Amino acid sequence: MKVQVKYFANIKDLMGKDTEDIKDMNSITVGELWLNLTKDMDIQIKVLYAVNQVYVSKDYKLNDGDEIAFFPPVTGG
Amino acid sequence: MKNEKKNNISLSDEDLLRYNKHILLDEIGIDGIELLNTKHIAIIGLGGIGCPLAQYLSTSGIGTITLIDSDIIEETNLQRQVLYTGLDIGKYKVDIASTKIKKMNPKLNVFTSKLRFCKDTSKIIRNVDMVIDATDNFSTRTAINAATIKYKKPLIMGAAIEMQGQISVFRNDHKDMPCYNCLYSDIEDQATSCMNQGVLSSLTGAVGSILATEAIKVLLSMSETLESKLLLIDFKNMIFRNIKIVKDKKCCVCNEL
Ligand SMILES: [Zn+2]
Repeated sequence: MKVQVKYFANIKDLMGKDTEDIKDMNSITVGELWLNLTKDMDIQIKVLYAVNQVYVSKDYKLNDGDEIAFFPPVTGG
Repeated sequence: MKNEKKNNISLSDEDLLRYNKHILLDEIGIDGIELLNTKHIAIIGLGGIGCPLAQYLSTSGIGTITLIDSDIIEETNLQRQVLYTGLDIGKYKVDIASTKIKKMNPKLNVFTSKLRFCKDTSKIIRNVDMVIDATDNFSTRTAINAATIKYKKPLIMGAAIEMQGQISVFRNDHKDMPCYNCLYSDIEDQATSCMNQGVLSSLTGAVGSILATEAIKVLLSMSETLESKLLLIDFKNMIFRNIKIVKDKKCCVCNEL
């Protein structure tokens, strides 16, 4: 299956790109996808997930054609 | 024309002039001005977001505003906390903010609290119509969320760090709606606190301005608010994105009875 990934705000800076297509992947959760994408990086940041513009938890099982957005929490002010 | 209108309404000639540009908006009008004048909003946090928020709510004719913040003004606040000047350093934010916004709109009623908002002090919101969270940390935001669920108040939340912001409207006055902790359940403050991170001053201004907009829209029952949505703002790339928030059945804050 294939999904489209979008990186938002400082996640975009970390990944060095704002979007990418992931092809030939197994059916995994959105949290597992994040771990796969960042496995060679030293990333301490907390990330949040939206699939098809809906907020989901890390256990959300991805489907073919999903659009995934990774974004950071913001609590300052 | 103006005299004809005046017979049916309670607004003074002065108010008709003061609110003229809002009266001309179909979405607000004279009825909207009169309704906003009966409303009481609590603003928690008078920092970079809370300052412009308090200014716009004051000049828009909200009847009563309660300002809640335990902090004292420091030099490092002046870059973005636009109600304060160098002369105010060392004074309580709520004291200076209340004087300033009262000057902007003399008919405004203002109450202040210098107590840190937490579970024990939360009853201060029991008589307000709406609560706006403009604080700077996860634990206070969680306490505000729990209190607005307890007292059934709509909650508008705004946050900013570096060049990114987030805004949402939680209808904690309604049943079975997603709450702040459905979104954020286990954030650790040290990862996201603004103590050692920068923040763009104009971003906090924009977040405060959007919070004031959403507050007025919710109070006037306008459609298309950020209810159960999270607005993600990325000022670095100037991108705005909306995400739908659904109730987390496992959320221990809004599912608890
Ligand atoms: Zn919840």
